[in-house]
Amino acid sequence: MYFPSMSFPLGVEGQAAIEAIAACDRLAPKLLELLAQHDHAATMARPDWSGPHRDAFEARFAGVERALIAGGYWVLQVRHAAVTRLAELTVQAEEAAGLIPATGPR
Amino acid sequence: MSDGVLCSARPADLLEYTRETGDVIWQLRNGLVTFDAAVEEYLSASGGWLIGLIKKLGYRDPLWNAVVDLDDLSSWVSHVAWAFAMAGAGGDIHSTDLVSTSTLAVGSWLDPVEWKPAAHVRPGQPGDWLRAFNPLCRGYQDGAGYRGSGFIQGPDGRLYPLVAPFVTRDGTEYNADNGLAPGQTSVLELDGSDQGWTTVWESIGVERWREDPGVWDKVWMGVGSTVGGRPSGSAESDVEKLVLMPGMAPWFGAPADRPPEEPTPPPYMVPAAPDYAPPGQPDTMYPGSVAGAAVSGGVPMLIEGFGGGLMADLGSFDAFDVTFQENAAGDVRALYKRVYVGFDDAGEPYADSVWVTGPENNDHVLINYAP
Repeated sequence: MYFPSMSFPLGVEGQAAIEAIAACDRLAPKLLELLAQHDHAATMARPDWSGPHRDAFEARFAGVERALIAGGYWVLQVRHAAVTRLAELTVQAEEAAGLIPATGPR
Repeated sequence: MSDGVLCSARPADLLEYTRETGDVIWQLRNGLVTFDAAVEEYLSASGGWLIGLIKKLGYRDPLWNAVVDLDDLSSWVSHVAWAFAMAGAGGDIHSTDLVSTSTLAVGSWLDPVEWKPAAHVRPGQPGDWLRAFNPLCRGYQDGAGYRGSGFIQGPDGRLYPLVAPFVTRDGTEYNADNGLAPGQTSVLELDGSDQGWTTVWESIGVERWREDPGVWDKVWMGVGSTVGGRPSGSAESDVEKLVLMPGMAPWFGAPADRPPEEPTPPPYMVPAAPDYAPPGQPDTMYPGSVAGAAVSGGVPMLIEGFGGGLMADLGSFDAFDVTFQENAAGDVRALYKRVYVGFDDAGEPYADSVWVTGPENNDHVLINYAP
């Protein structure tokens, strides 16, 4: 979880970034949980399933799993971008509040 | 996908996968809706700053694509469960019984429309058909037996001899049943002398029995149609109105349309010069030379050809019912029925049924249905 300092205003963008980070923090572990649940679902079908349909299933199953993992990676990238931007906004807010020396326009 | 191998599954197990995956999909959708709302608000607040970054990251909405893929996979598994149930569990998709059957049987329920018989009829070398299907061993006696010469390659890749059964009852030859009363003998089993066939797959539908003719083929077929009437065969809309039921004669489920238009009437023909002058008048001259007459005769023929050619491809369709069977001895056979729609002089539709026995156009046995 990301716990931003609320002692100075971050503006609308800052608040939206905090919400986006929180959304990423909710979704990323949820994806892992759903991956595990999907894996469990497949174990229900597999025991006596054989033949070319089973082979086709395994290929498609692996594709879906890859897509979910890739989606989880993308969520982490979005989170990283939002955290980076929030850090910039925080510095700007601290400069504006006179808490740190100004570093010039960004 | 190979169709000639065995496969097995418990329909209820596959259904359980789809049930639990349905829950996964529901949770994933809800999670993404919440996520998207937060990210879109951020995109809006950032004034486009993040949009550029997301594009740089190569955002392609991967999670929603995953939802679609997962949904497709779940639907497909459900379809496979149903196909296994139909192939070996009496249609009960909740069956916990282990269904072990051929991929052909399952595939026929999964993809029944992809395979059309007309494209799979094969000729046989002399004697091939007899060796594959010896009519002498099938009670070819007492006016009953099988006719045939060719083969059809089934969806499983195997060649099945095409057979056209016949029996003789009170001096009349019959080639198929039109329903069977309890205890009544079947023409397809030669009135009891060749029993024990079980159907492993059956497909009923509408097909194109010949390729779309080329332009010049259509022209020449059109010329023929204006001379000989409507092209043989049936239009797709005609045969789609037929109802085919296994073991029954076809009937019309809806009135068949009359031909959309009658064959193109012959255009005015410029009289051509006769080839020979009248007897005793060797110097008689006719307007135009012989070559000119040929040209003047050729133009209307082309007009006629194009006019009739527009209709030529209308007659390229049939309704079909193809059945693949095997018996306890491991013998196989196929019964391939085609039904064409014609129109009598009063414009009333009628259905002609034939057994297809080979790849040639005359490899047909007209079916007389037993009462």
